[in-house]
Amino acid sequence: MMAEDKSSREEILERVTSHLADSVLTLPDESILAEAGETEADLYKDAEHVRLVLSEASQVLEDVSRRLSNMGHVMNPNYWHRDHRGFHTKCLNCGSSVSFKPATHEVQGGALNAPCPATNEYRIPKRANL
Amino acid sequence: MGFLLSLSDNTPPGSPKPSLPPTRSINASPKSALLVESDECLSNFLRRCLKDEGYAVRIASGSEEGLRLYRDFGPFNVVLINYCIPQRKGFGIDPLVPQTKGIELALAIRDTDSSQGIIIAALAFRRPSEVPRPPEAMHIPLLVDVGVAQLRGLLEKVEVDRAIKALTSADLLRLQRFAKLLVRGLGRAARGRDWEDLLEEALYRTLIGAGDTQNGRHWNRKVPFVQHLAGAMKSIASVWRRQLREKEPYLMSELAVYDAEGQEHSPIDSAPSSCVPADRRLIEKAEEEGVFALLRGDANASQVLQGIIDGLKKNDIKLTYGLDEKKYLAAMRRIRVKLLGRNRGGNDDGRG
Repeated sequence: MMAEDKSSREEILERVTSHLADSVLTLPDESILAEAGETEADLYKDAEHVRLVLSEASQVLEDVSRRLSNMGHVMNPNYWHRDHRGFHTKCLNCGSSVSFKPATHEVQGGALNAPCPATNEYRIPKRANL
Repeated sequence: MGFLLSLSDNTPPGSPKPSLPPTRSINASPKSALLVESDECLSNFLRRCLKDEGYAVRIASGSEEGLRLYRDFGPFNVVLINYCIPQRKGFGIDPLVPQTKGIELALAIRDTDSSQGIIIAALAFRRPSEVPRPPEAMHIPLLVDVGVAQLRGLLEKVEVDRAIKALTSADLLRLQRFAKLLVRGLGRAARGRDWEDLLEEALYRTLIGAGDTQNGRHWNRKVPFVQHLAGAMKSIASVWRRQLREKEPYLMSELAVYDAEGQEHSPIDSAPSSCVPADRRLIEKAEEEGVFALLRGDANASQVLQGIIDGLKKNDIKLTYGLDEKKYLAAMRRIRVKLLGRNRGGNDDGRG
């Protein structure tokens, strides 16, 4: 029925699941709810769990940026480099690096070890009376 | 510092001119912003930044005017408030006394609409931790650096958060099932990652996508958020699959494994052979047969599955097996339910 070589099997699996996944996108709302109801015990709870996954992911990067900002580091929030180990970026002032692992939400790097030494070098003093 | 001052709706004498009625452009714009800033230079700069990002901007110079504009024209895609704004701009304000009504305004707007995306521009501070805020305002994003990149990143986050809140139950379940099916198709390439990992990754890439086209997935607002995330997930799944094929090189230090006693173990000890083990082929074959076994007795579903395996498009499948639209859709539904529901309560939840 199917080709015996490994790559063909993987391609076929990919083709089938991709075709099925695409079909989910075009389903009307009532159909997706009815279909999900056949496999999920609590639709509302399940749906809200998906929202939670998204909300938490949105907050994680913000928390990392805020943590670094509190140490005086300046990061470009849009320039995280991604490789197989996680996301990486560097402080625009001192160049120290930080990496973030999505699977564990673990944050590592030299930027977390010390406040940014370059923070105050070129800054104009801000309003001091606050 | 007090946070309980009331913001009156009544415009006292000497206050700024009431805002003009909404213009055609702001109503026609797909994105709107309210900017509350009393410093003219900063106001011009921030307004320009927002306009460059495609926002139609309304401007207020004090907290009273800001709240009035919000009540008249809100909600906005984003409300950007400077921490240091007066209650109302005008004569009689002591320049030596700090005017810090920004947080009060942000909380008043949150009371009106808890889902309103707000950014506080705390440009008078060096670090977020230095910004005095009550606990209920701690989660509001802060702009402490006037760089355009920082603002762009926060705007992206506000827009994404707004889109997440707006997702319906059907949208959320659609995304979940989409992700589960893709992960199921990854096989070994999933490397233990599940549908949540795939969805999270799609969101991370969206958030960094505003400036990084190589790693990020820029969200074009003309595309619905669900479609965007689905596209991002598909692209990520294909990257994961490619990574398995390319067998990325690793440093030994990256692969070193330590046990509970701190003993290092060589990864070579457990490295798989480059030859496909015989049992792997058997597992894959069994998996494939298992899928067909699930559909045993369901002729239409088996035919549709065979059509997909053969690379046929929807219409070709219908023609080949003589299925009408209703029968085809029903067969597709049964395949999806069987595949996703096969291990309910067991070990599969879209995990690869």
